[in-house]
Amino acid sequence: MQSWQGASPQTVVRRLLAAEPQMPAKPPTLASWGSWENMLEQGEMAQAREQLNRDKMALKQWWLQHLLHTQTPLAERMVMFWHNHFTTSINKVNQPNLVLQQHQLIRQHALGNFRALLHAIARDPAMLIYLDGAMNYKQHPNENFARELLELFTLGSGHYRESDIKAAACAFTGWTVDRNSNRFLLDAQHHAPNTQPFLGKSGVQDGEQALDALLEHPRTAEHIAEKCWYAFVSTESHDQAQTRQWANAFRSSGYDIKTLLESVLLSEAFWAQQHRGVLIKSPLDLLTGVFRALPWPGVAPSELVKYAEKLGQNPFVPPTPKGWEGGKAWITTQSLLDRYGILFQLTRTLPPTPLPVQSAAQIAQWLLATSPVKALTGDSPQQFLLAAMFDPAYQLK
Amino acid sequence: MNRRDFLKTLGALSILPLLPAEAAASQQPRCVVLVELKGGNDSLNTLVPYQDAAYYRLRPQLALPAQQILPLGNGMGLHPAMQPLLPLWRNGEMAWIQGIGIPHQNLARSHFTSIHTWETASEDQNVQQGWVTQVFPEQSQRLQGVTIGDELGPLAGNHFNAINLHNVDAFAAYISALPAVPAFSRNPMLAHILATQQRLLNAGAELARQLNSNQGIQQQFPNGELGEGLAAVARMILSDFNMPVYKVGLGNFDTHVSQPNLHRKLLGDLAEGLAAFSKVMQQHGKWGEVLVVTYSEFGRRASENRNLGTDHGSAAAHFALGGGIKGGMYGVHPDLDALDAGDVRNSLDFRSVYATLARRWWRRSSPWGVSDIPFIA
Repeated sequence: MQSWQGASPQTVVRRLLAAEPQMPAKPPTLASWGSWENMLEQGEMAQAREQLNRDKMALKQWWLQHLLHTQTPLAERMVMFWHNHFTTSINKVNQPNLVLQQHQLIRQHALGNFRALLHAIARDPAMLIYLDGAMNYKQHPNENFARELLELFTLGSGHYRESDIKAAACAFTGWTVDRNSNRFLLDAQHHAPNTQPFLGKSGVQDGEQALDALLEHPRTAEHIAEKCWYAFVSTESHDQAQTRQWANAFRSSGYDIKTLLESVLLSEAFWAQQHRGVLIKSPLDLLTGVFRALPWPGVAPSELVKYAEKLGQNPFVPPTPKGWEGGKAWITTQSLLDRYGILFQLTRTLPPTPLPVQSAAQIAQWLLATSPVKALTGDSPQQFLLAAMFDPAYQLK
Repeated sequence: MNRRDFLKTLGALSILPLLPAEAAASQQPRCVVLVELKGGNDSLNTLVPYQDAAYYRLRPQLALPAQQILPLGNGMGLHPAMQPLLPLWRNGEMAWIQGIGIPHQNLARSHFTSIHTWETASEDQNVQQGWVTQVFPEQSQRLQGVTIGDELGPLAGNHFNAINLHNVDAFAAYISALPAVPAFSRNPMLAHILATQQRLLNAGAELARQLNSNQGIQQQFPNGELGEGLAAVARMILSDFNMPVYKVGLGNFDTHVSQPNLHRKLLGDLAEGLAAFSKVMQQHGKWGEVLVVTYSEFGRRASENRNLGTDHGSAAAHFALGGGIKGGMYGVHPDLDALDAGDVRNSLDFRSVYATLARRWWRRSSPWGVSDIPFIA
């Protein structure tokens, strides 16, 4: 970071975006569907459940470890952004290996191209299971995936009709998962081409065409740009002129995610004084931030996963297909109390390393996104440190 | 001499401001316990039109056999898992309200827009005040409501003094360690954190002062999300907090797939939890002051899907319980031969339930121009 001092925002943002995202360590080995099936057939329900829970925990810990140590946090933020966009809950899918596969897919495209990501997600086995797309048959269409595709993944609510959902559901009939290979399968016998107008267009017959029609619609880029506003600028209402401008850049680049991020991170809105320190840390921001600042001793990764869950952000288990609401919703009477309780647990033993800065003012500058609510008092740098971490301003980023 | 005559002789009526409905209500610790059935309950398999041939035609796999249904009369009956609530029906302490839905439902088949509409009584997605908050517009120093769970829902809104919590004892114990903070900041997010911290401190003090050591009640409730939530609510009611509203929830009603076993389990949890709750309230002479009412983001499609499940629908039946209600069947019987695009016709604005609670239970005015339903005298 030292070498970046004095560099212009343009230089910094371009360097951040140009950095090759650091990949996490080798992922845990997870059981495949076949081994579950064998266990279940042999009546080994309890063992199967145990193995399942072990695999879920292994996967969560693996990601959390990477969040704690990554050298490319912006890339990681985008992995979380897309996980919270193309949500999938491991508790519904119940196949950790498929969720890992989806996670790697998101990781691959996180700073790549949204068109490619959207097309890949629509064929992703974990997504097909999570939103019941795998059971969308021409005789009995299941609208769950089609509905969330329009409402959450592309246009946003208010920009389509019920009839568009029905048309999309029909276009995606037969898109399923092959149970033997755990791969995408277009099952022709369950597919019926859509014959109804979709978003006012005729001829949108299959899923690929439906996705392309959604990518042609200006709302898709606007919706993603608005989500960037909430993730990077403010969770209060967005400036529509600004988000439209980002959306135009995004769309005319052919949905290049780095182009979008560059527009966001170099915008006046992002740098505006009124938008400093007005985002509330997510539970994972809070927990990983504690350890990224200092090597606090004595906390097992499994504990951190449990803390994240308690604070309302169980990784791989978004509460609804809409994901974590974020913003003010992170802080309720119960969750604020839990945040302080967990900070207390984590900071009981001071880290052995010396603090990088010593004075109260420097510590506030280092750890707080905005000035502390109460002046940091104490007799030592360690006391300033704890005062900063228990100040309500520590909850902001 | 009754109270009114006594006041008249003193001439007090001309001196005192007219007692508004609010003041009258505040003397009576009447409360509502809201039960959210999260995910969209399949009400056609809860309150079942089991003598209707169309029901069996629409649901060849999912229809419940007529001989398993607990008959309530007029061709309607309960899912067998609702058995623990049957005594309340027989006592006139259970009211079913049929055909409740969101009028002009556009996108409301979405979980998120739909539950938001139910919580705020508004189809405008920008409205942030819950419907309960709209019924109680004045500030209160005392706690006015508690939700057991992750969010405030219908109790949201800055001026309504409500908190959400998971475990009432742990919650009260932890708060005592929190420091006081200033009350205001120009940073809207910091202001929210500070207001939440202040509310915690006040609530902690009130809980510490008021909550009886009646943990033993919990043993009378089933385990699980709803049973534990209702046990906490019961403890607060029996500790005379006199709050007008509590909210609990039960999850997982989004039964697109493999509905029968899951729905049976959920309805069993619901019925056993509420039966335990009514019993505890009766034992302590509170059952006449408590009204339980269910809600859910939507009902489900009249016909089953291919996956032994049901997709998002619109209108639904919900029920109220309480020693002070007029039990029975209200609203329009579902006509499965005259569906509205695959859904049971929506015949009653969901705000009618809220207006009824506001006017007839809390004796306040209703902000919604809809008529009452006479399940409360």
